[in-house]
Amino acid sequence: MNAIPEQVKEFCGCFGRIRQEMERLMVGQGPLVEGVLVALFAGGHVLLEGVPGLGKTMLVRTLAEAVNLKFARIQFTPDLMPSDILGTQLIVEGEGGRKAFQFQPGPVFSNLVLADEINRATPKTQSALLEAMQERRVTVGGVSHVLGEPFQVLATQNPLEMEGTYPLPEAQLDRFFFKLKVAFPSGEDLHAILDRTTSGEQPRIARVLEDPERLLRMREVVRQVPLVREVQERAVGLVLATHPGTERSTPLASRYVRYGASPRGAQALILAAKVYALLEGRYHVSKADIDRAAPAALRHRVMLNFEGEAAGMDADQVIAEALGR
Amino acid sequence: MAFERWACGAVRAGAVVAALLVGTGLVRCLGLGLPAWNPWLGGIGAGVFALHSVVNAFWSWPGWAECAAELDRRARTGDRFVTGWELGQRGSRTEMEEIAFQECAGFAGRERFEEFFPVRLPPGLLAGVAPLLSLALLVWSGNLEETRRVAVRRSGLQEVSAVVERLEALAREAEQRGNGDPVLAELAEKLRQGARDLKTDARDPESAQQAAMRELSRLEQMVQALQAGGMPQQAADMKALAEALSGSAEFQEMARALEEGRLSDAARALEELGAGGGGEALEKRIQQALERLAEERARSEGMKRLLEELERSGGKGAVEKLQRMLRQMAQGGQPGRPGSEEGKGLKELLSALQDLKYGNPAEGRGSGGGPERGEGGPGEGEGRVAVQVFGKAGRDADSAGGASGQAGGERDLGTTGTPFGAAGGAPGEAGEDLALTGRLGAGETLSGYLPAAGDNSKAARRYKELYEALAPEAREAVMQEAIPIGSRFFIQRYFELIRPR
Repeated sequence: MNAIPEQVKEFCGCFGRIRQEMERLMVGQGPLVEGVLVALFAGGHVLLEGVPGLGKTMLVRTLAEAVNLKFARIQFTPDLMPSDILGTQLIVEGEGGRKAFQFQPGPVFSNLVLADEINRATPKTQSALLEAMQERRVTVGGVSHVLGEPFQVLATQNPLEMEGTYPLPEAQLDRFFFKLKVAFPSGEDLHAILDRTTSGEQPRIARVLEDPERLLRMREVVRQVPLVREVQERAVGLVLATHPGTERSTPLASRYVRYGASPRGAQALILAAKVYALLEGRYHVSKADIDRAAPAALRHRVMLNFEGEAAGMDADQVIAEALGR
Repeated sequence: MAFERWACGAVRAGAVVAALLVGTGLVRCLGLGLPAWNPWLGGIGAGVFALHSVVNAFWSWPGWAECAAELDRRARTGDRFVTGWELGQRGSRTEMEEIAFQECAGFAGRERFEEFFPVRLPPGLLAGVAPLLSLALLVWSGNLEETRRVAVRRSGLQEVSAVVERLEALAREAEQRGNGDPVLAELAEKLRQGARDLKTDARDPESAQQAAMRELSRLEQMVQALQAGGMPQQAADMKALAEALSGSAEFQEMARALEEGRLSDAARALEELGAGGGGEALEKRIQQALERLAEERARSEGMKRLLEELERSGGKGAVEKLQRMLRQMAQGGQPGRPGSEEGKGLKELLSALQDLKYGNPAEGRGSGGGPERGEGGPGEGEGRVAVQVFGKAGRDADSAGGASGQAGGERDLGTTGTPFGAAGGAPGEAGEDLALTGRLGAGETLSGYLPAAGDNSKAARRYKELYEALAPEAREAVMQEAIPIGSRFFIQRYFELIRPR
């Protein structure tokens, strides 16, 4: 009986320390850091959206350093090929001059994969991550290769209206646990960033988690957090509220939404809410936890129709209306 | 939410019941015929409200989970109530669920939730409470008004209770005196009806007094009408007697006076004839005239009685007896028989009514167990003062009508309460003690009348005659005209003051 509280205590301690370490470099990005960590402990992938130069790559690199996970960075470009991500079969000459195909793993075979500017690659290349993100394995040359745990993809993308970008297909978007927006820092935060990055000494990130197994155990603890039907109903209601043409549709969803959030969105809501519940010191999920997770978990799963796009509507507005019910 | 729907339903039920009660109160206030407020009505209203709430709660009970969720929402408990409730319903719990359950239960037992539940009345509750409060105030005011009304009516009844009892006693006495006489029986019934009307009209002390005066005036008028019922017959008798006597030359003046209704002059003329001699001849002629009249048309009681007396006395004293009858009739009274219960009863009844009316409740005067007027001894009966009367002799106490202008028949309102003296007591024989009623104050009251020589002087006769002729008309006019009761009293008082002495 005492194991659970200890594990919860360990979880909260680790979470706090990692956040503390990351915020040493990520000034003024507290919600972003928290969202990334929530996705990490929930076992989900994160899509970071923001203009270049806001520290998205640094955020992921800092996280990798703090948790001591194998980190790989893939810079997505229009000419990036799937094999560049997944790996390829190479002809290897063995003893006696015998030649054979040998799988050369790509950067996806890491614990933390940074897919930088993922929307600059072609949809074909983007889709190369689909199986890896969902099934935690890749298939090359008819052979499936299981990825190591933990595995998390943190993709960054520039706003879609920028030049040379390809919108992510809905199927891949749905595989991201969270979509976090990287906000431009305030003036005060900008001062702090400049002070820290332009001085002679660079802050060093301490490792909080030495063993990746600890992260996996903490993920198990998160999944054990109980959730009653009344609270789960809140998550279901939120997801259904984003769908047009249902009894629970909000007016904005009925008018401007083409597709609402998927069941993966509801799963993301629940898992994130469990993390938030533990962070709040509770052993159960509340509706407030669901609501707290809703924007990040649903915004990339709500597809606006043409009228919504033309009206400059944002998915966050639809979600906010659903939360206000 | 179901919880809010349930609460709103209960409030609506209360509003409906309150509206019904308010409507009932308004209908009652408007006097549309509903019965007076009954405490059971409030109990029934509260019972209906409670029953409706229970039934409503039974049918629309949202369930414990819904209630727990509502509590969590209001108290911001982090959904601990609903989580604890649902986890508690599970038969087996995981380790984490057990910890969560314990934490929720501990939170519910540890935390204080008063601050999370501020007393905020639902908006609809005010709409329900305001009519109820108004209704309560309305009912309270109605009860106070009803209590006051009952008290006023009770005091009004107390105000007239003496008069009512007196009227009922008079009615009983009239029945006993009448002994089957239809006139007195009807009079008794009217007295009882008057008592009943008086009780009905006595809504408050002021209206009770007015009703008493009105009722007594009506009864007095009725009795006076009964008393005067024989006047036309009496006038016809007098004319017939004049015709019978007109055959003799010595009776010409008397016959003319009889025809013209001047009974006093007729009596005086008869007296002068008697004084002039020829008594037996006169008596014989009078007796013959009366017998002829009796054969032809003897109608009045007085005439019959006179003939009977003459027959008993063998024709002796006819002049004196006729003279006495004429004087009595001239005084306005009936020449009643000595034993006539009707005439006697009417007279006494009128006197009693006037006593009641003018505030001289002489108990037993002329009725009941007390001695009758003119018959009682000194000091007998309550409210009587023994006086020595020096009145003119030769009057029957019963037949003394007390008409105006008659010596010895004069009374003051302060002692008799009769403005016209119609029912006043008659003086007895000279030197006889009479009992006169009067208002007794703190001390002893002594009153009496000493006639002066001028009362019988020639100078006063004309005025007396004029007064006698006009007094009945004036009395009738006062009774018939729409004159306020209070003013009527002063008019009667005025006529009393100008009565010839």
